[in-house]
Amino acid sequence: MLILTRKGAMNSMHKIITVLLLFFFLSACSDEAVHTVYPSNTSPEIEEEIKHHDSIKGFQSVVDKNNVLVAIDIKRMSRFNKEKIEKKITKALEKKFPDKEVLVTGDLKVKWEIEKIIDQKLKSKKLTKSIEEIKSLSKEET
Amino acid sequence: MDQKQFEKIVDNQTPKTPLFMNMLKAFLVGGIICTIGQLITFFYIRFFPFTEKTAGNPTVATLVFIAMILTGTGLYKKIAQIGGAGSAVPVTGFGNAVISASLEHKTEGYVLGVGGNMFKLAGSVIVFGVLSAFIVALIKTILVKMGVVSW
Amino acid sequence: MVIKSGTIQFKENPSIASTGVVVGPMEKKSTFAESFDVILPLENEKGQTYEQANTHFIEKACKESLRKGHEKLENVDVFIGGDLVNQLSPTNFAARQLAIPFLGVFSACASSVESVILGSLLLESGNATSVLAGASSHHPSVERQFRYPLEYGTQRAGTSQWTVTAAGFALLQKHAKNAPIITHATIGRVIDGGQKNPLFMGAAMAPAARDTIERHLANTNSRMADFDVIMTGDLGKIGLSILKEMFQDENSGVILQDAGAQFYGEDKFFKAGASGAGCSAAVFFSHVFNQLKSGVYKRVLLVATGALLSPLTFQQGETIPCIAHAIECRMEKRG
Repeated sequence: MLILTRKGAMNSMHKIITVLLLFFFLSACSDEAVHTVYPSNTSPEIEEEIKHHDSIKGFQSVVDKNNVLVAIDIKRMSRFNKEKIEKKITKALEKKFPDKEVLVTGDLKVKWEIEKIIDQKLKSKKLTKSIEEIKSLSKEET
Repeated sequence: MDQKQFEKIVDNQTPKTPLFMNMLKAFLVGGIICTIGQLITFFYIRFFPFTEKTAGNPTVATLVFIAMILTGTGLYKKIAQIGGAGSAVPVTGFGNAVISASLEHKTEGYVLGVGGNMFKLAGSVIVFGVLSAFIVALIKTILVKMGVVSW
Repeated sequence: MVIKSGTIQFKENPSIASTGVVVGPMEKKSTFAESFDVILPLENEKGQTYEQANTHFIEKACKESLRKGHEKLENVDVFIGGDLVNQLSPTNFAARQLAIPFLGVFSACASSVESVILGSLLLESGNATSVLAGASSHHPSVERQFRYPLEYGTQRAGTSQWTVTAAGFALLQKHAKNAPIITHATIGRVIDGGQKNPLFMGAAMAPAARDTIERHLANTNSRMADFDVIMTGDLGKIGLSILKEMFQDENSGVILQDAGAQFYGEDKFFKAGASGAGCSAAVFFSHVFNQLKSGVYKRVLLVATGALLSPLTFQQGETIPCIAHAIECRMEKRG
């Protein structure tokens, strides 16, 4: 009887572990790559630049008179070099947009904020305002 | 009976630690705690003006707060019995160490009891955390000066 | 009368007239729960510190044994006791309340038997007519004394034992009617098996228990088979099997028992079993005492084992010296 109950306990433990492991393996990321520039079809330079980088899955960008915001999706294992990649692309884009301020970042917050801008189709003044907000956010240190 | 014989008997009778099982459990418990932490981070990034860089602080505070409630209700002890290192290494373990010590010494008053003993266990975490941070920073500084790596 | 170094024979029949055992809420799960006199529902009452609660347990156990023995507090000559908290403060504080002449003893978890030996000696020499002797331990206050804060999350190893919340005290009198008498006692030697792990007391204490049992058997010219049971205090399950293996005696399997190993039955939560000065006191003064009284056991050897470590010594890397004291109790035919 004792052996039986012990076996039962072991079985249920194994079951739990298998289910958990399955859960971990199956829930790998499956988001599709996006390449968005807003307002659309204004700046093909960004897409061209991003194409050169294998470690980037996709990007979302917003461009207005004075600013270029690019939120990049970096592949998981390349995230360790996040800052280097950001710097590299920033430099390259700064050359292509000499009269604009460029912000390239892999930060989730910026990505979500850009998505919001694109969703709400913000124009002119409101657009500038939220771009400024994003810029000040990403400058915060701690 | 000499010492050697005795030690042999002790070795024979000591139950073997189920190392693999313990590691697996620690991995799962630690992983679950960290997943919860990641979810909290996402929550702060999504609904509050925090970026990936800045969301760390409120996340840690929230986790310590949760650890505090779990410690106070006696649940953290039970989690730790299963999780071992998996529940001790994340910041919740640090919170648990601080809070359990202050609960324990409440009877000796707030100044000498709680204040004096709060970091009885967690104090060494702070001391060696600062020490190792210093050493790592020192090594990196030397490597940068030598030109091996850049910041 | 000294038979041989360390073993005392009592001629004047000091006997255990009555006992009082008070335990905490966790001990409800004990296999001996039915024999305990009082099971308190809380470790400490509201507003009480754990140390005050420990004192309360001691007082209650003393009063319980006096009540059962129909003896007045004023008639007790000496109160002997010990516990595991800082400088015996709970027992000292209980002695303040009881206001009986008091001797505090400490040999860790062996205090229970040590105090009975001292009490029997006082009765034997005619310097007292009734003595209260026993020991106590209180889980929350002892854990804090020796290990981590209560709510601190550590993984308890399979060798670790659970300090019980219990106080067991016995009223010792000469020639009490229908009561088990203490015929012999063996004072333990401090034995060091070279063990260092404070969470594996069983291995540390087993050599001390073996030494005391061996000396007792040799000094009294008896064999293991002469006893109904030889019960150690709190070796725990693993400590007990180590002790059994150390005795290459075919009787050791049945006769050698351990209060700590049996205390919580097969409950996995308590790992290797129970420990603490209250563990041996509670079991010896409830279950074993009852069995003696009802005549199931006729001759028993009670060996309380104590690990003489402090948080200071094991952090300084010292090994754990241990001690075991033994008393032999017999139940004579009624009448």
